[in-house]
Amino acid sequence: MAHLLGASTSSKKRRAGEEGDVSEAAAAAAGEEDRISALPDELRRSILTRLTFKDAIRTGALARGWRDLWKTRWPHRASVEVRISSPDDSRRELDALAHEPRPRRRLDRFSLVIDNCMLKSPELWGFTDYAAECRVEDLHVEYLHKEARRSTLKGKFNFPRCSPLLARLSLSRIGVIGSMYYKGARPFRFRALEVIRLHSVDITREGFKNLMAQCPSLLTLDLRGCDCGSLFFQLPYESKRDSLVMPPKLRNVTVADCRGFAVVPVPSLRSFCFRGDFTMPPMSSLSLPEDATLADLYIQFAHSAAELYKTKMLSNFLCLPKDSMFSPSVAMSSSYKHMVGGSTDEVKEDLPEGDLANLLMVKVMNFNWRRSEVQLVSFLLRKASSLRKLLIVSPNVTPPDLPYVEADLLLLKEALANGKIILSESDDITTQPYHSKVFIMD
Amino acid sequence: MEVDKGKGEAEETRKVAEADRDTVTLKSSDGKLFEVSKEAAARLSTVLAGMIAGGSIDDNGTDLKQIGSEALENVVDYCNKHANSIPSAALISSSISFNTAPFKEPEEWERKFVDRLSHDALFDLVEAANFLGMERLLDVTCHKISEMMKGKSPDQIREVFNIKNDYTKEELEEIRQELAWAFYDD
Repeated sequence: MAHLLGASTSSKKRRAGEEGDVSEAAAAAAGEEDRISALPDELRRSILTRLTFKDAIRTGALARGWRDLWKTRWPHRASVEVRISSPDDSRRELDALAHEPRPRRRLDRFSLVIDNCMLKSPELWGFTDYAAECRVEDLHVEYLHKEARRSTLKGKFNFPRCSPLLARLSLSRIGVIGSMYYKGARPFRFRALEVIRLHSVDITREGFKNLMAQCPSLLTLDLRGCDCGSLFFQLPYESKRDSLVMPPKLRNVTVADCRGFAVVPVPSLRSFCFRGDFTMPPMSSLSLPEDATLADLYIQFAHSAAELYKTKMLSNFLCLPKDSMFSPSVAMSSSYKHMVGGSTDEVKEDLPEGDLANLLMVKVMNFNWRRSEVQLVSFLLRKASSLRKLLIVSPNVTPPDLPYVEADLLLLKEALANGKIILSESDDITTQPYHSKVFIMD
Repeated sequence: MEVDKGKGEAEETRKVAEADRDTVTLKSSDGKLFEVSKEAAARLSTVLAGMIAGGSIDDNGTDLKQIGSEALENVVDYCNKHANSIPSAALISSSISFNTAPFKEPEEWERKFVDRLSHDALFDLVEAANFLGMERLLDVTCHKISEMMKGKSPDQIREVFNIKNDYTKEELEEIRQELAWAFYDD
């Protein structure tokens, strides 16, 4: 316990009886003060080293004084990229890493880029084991040579050892993810893993199932250019024991330019981004669970030959199961190139009432005033009773003289007049917060 | 005018002299005197250890002009508690370079010790610990501050610490895009 011996007799300004007032006033004033930014960089770095890599990165968004601080949070180099162009490179790098002192340094990020050469599994494991010993939080493995796809690591890409702190796993053109199990692997091995990003990776159903079963914390699944096979497809004859169980907290799913079936049986889903052919799975068989509270939906149609009858599919999709809490925000980027002709009644035909009651925000990009597009907008205006804003990005801000259904066009013009619809030529700052960059390839 | 608690100077001097053997007297920026075990002070603070070894300790109260009385009271309190309840092994392991080793988690009493502090008192204590070269106390206080940041969005962190966002909208968007995966769930 501290011993208060009394005030000194030196010439202090403080007067007896004033202490309470002074400290209270100071506390009130200090309450508005930014004490943490005022700490020396060295102390702030030390604080950042106690955060996960992800949380540390996020501090870069606090204020200018924080922007790059996380990058130097460790006194050593904590982001390492190894590039291998030949078997000699591989041996040399592995040898160098093996001679680093133990216990290993902490690594925020380890990136292995294999450029136009092959790597045997034990060599690959040499690198991933090293990263695991460094308790890496962001691991990236990439083959640059396109030929590597499908051939090099078929069925072999797995992790004998895994960093307990791994938060993000990014794999690019590594071939096939077969079984992620390795001898003696425990369930929930990727305990901290929140983000999986697979780029041009072929995924077997078994491998995917195992991976999902080992990632209890997964929040984000990002699949681009992958061959999914029947990845999320629930086979009717499957027993419950064999069926795919998605991680309970999975919130964001992106499926872009993938082949194969991909149904998303994810009750926790909050955000779904899709780019590809609307007529193909997963769109044609997308089953969102009845209790999904989807906050964002982004659909970008590819060059596909979407015929008009598919509009009905879109309508059905947008209508979703009854009572589903749907969507503060939907963004669509459409080409609709082939959606001409046919009966305009077709959209209306199957629409149940009131199912879009929770839709707050829609953004339609590449709007070209085609009849089906006007029809879609009209449909949204009629059905989405809570809709606050409908952003339309279109090269033409005035409708061309085409034979629209009068009622559709009237509705659209009315919404334009009262400000519900915002029509814009470019995807500028007013519309950008909504999805505009989700498909940037990083 | 200067006398705070009504104690006479003579009495103070006598007390200090009595305690001289195994304690050190520290004087805060606002002139209050605190007594702390010399052994604990030397063990926990590199700066105090240096002063004790170098003989620059003032029996009438060593001036610590950078440290206010509340923070100094907490420092002294911490030292005395530490002297009573921590086996020295914990200290040794905490001084392993944190380049590689995980931080030693704060002990239960250390956690309670910082939990009861107000926001400002916590930061005063971090600064005092930094000034005095108290590695273990820095560990404990920095750990507490990091706990206040964990799992929070930048907005929430700004609110907790009164950080002013001086980014433009465009800059912020650029930062978020640079490492989008870390910002997915905002």
